[in-house]
Amino acid sequence: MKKTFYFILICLLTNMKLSAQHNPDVLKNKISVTLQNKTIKQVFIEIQNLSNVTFGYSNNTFDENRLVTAKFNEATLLEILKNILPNNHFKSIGTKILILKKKGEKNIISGYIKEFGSQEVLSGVTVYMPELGIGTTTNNYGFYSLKAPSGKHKIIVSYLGYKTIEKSLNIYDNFIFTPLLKEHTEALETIVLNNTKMITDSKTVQMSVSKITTKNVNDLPAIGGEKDVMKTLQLTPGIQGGIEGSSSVFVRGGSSDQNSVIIDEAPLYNTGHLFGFFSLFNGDAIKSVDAYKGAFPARFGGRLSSVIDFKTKDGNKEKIHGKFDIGLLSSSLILEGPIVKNKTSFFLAARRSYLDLLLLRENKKSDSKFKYYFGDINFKIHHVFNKKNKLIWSNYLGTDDFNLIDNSEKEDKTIQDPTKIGLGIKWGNITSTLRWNHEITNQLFLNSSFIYSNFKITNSIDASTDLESLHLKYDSKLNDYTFKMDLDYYPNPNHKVKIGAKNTLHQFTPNALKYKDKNLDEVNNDIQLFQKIEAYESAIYIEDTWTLNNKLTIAPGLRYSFYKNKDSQKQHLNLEPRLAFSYNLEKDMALKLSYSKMNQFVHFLSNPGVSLETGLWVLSTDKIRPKSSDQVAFGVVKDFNDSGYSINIETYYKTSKNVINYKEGAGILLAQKIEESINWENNISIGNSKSSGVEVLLRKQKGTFTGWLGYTLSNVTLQFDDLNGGLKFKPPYNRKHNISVVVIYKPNQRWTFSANWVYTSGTHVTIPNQRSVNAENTFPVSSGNPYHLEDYNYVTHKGNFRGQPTHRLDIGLQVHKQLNKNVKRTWSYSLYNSYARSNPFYYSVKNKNDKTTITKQSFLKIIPSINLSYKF
Amino acid sequence: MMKYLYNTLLFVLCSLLTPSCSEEETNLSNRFTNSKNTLNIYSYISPQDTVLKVRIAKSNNIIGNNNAINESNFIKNANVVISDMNNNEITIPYVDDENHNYSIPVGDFKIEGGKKYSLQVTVDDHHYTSTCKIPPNKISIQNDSLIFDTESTFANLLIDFKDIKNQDNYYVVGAKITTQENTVIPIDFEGGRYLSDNIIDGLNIAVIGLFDSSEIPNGSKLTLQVSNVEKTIYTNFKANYQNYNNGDGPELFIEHSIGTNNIDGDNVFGLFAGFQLSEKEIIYNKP
Repeated sequence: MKKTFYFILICLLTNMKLSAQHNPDVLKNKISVTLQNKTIKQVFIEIQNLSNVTFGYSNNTFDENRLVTAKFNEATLLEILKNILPNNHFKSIGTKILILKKKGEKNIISGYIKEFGSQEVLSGVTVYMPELGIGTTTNNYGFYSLKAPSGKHKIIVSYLGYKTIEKSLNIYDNFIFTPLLKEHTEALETIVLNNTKMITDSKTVQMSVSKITTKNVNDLPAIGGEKDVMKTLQLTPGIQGGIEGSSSVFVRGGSSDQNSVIIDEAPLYNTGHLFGFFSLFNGDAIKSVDAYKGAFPARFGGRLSSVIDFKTKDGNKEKIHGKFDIGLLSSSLILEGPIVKNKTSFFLAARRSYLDLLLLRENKKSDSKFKYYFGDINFKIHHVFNKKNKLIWSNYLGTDDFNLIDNSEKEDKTIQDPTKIGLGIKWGNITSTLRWNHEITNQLFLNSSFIYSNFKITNSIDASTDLESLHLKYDSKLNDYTFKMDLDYYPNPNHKVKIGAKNTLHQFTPNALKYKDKNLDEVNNDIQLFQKIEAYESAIYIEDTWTLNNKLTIAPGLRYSFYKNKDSQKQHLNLEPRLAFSYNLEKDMALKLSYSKMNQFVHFLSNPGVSLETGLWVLSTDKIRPKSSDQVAFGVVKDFNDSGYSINIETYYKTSKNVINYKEGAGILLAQKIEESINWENNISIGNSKSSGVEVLLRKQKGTFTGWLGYTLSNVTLQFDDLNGGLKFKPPYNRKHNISVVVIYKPNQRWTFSANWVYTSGTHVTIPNQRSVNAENTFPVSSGNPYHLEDYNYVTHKGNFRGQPTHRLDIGLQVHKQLNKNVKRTWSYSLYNSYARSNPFYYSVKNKNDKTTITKQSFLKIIPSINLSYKF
Repeated sequence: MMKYLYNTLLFVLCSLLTPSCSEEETNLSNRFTNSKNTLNIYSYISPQDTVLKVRIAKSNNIIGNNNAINESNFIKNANVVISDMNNNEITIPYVDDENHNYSIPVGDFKIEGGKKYSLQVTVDDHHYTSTCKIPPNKISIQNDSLIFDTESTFANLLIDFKDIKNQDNYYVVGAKITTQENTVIPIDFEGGRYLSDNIIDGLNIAVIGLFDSSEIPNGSKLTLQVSNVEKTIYTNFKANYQNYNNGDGPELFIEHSIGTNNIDGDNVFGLFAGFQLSEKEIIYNKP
């Protein structure tokens, strides 16, 4: 019987008033008792024997079998009872003591949700109590907290890709519940057992978020077999790619520097290997990715357009596991396991490309040499001190190194003094995050983090003859040191509060130049120039997810940000309000509305034209004010639970102020003087941006066929006083229509078929199409350059040419085989751009046979790949 | 140099990544948002002018053809008027010579530093207007020196002048050598011809030009020219020069710059702007 009455109480109530007036309060009776590992029931028997009282209570008031160890010396019965049953209250009626539930008092159910077999904590897991209609999701560290009244209640724990756990819990007191979720192994088994028990999109207030799991990434075809999280994100609505093949992303009309890319809380300032063609993230090291495009919770800030939050794996706490992957471009190794079983684990993922190794032989034969490689390492240690304290140290180290030595003149005997030329570009990120997770109470969770992030790019040119040598080196580097604290507070089922603070010291050297010119006379004409900027960026925030009733949930938030450049007197203090509403029209259908204000203090100066993510990161200064944006989004989401389908339609409008761009004719590669490249502030134009769009996502997450259909209609307009004659223009990343179709078919455990088809409208390119008399021809200042005598080609507006649309079909096949109990082998085959569409990479103008024509340069037509992986 | 580095990088990337790299010439002229020919109007005025000049021509659409500008491009029937803020105006007639300019001696119509002027052009009932402001100050050329290369016939000319303090200034620099036979040899300052003081303020600016000294007789006249120009001249000239240097078309890493246009009207592109010209003459003498 779930509902029980206080049977003893009923008997007693009849004479309560009579006896209570005449008998002294037995709760004040004093006794001495020593309790050693005794159940509450045994304790009561012992007290009854010592003080001649009896106890009355219902069978769901507390847990009778809970063990107690305590020693009381001449303590009142009330003191003893309060000590052993802190969540109850007591009344005496004659020699009877009634044990009652505190009026309205609820018990706290809390804990961590982990993966079975590895004890990897899982974030975003639904914990739901269907009879009570209350639920929550685990935070970033797998922690949750719920309040429920005493009694026997069903609790459901579910997470996409894992078997749902259903349990009945006898809850009489605060309760720690830490179930282990088992991963689905049966492909035919439905991924989501019962959607009604899950907190699906229609039941959360959060909107404008794309969630990607490692499974999504691993199942899809990829160029060169390099599983790429960023390219998978490009397949979701609102997130667009850059040039063909690039892994950079543009979110809701924002430039790529407006994305906050975070790996284990550390910001990454460069996200691409091989000039942005492959993302930095080793797909096997990533646990989950959440990409916020709008409706930003107040805990996020510092960038205008998106937050792409990567969480890496913690490492298996029970057994050593690993994976070895051999691809055409690179190979990777993963190793994880316990250092101290169930207490300390490590995770190591390393990847390296080997083009340079393949070219070793060729390089030895020739005087000219080429070398390129990229590599990255993820390393993490996760230590559990006790149930309430954990320490996590996660690190990322990535590098790209491109070198070319041209010594071809040496082979030409007609050249007397041959020149040897060396070119080099090297860049890389280092991040390190030390986190301490502390469960202060079962309602209050604290995370404290020390974060270090470093990015450096070096461009170098060496030219030497026997007589003279010249060395030119451009460095751009930055260091961020951050301390942050985040408190998660769960006061009751209707509120989920987050409070936090963050302080960052930025140390940027946007451009440091070294020039060495050494001639025969041993005269050194060395030049060293650099600019260093330091700034503090801080923020405090509070946010709440407030469930007003079954239909309406609101999520108000406020972030207060502070920025100060050390060289400036000016401080930038900004209030950033955030607000989100969700209204359930019906059980599985919700209307959502949100508003976010964001500020950004760091900026990326990319080359005008095609950017290969090799520009300069700079900080706001007196001249370059912080960027800010306001975004409103409205959406409707419907879950079709039985079939596993869901549809999400959103529309947004975003305005941004103080966005920056190089002035007309300025750029890293166009600096006329060395000083110009150092004093970048003088070459910057400040403007505004407006973007709007509609995004549709139809998704199927259940069954042997899964996938999604995404469509984005978007429009972006920029306006700068110093660009395009002050007129509005479309940036190159403005693509009006984006369609993506993703299909994954897993008929059984052996096969995985996948395909994705994408279509995007053409980019806006600036191509001169008019010829005029030279504007300078009549100017009276003499010129010795023949250019002034010639006609010249010009264009009146930026983006006057709309490139052709891009579309392609990528297909993939994976063949899995369980070789023995511990080893699984997977062959992956993929075909990128399978129907060989000539997608434009860039356009150029050519003069041939007295005719000016536009030429389209294409690449990445039919790229087959093969990968072999062993998982053990 | 950096451009060289990135272009090399592109080549290497292309050859490594993609055996399927391709280049296609296709008829894409319909993908331009505007393919109409535009009217070009250029006029620069200064207090040092003895003749006012305006050039008006029609542009050629170059995609699919390669039509050079010829006499037929010049507009000869326009009504051209320059006026000042006191409603004084001067009508400038077309002069049918090889320059194809509208021109007239300044006469009583004075161009003064710090003053605003307007240009009105009417072509076939279409009206085009613009205004400009003459920079108030003229700079003085402080130093000059000729540096001869002992191992070649090339020589450098260094011009040094003081930037005007506490304001944004833009300069166009040039020089020419006129022999006694009236042969004019211009000196090339390349991109250094276009200068701004955005890095320095009030300090000396030096610029170096290059020329071949082999056929220049001693005693020739060397004229140094520094013009203090409106920003529109600087941005327009610099953009055009860079576009020309970058091959007059889009490159992978370099976007074609948009020259400044300050002429109002339909389908027009051009510049009406003011400047102050400083000149210094010295006698060329090669030791």
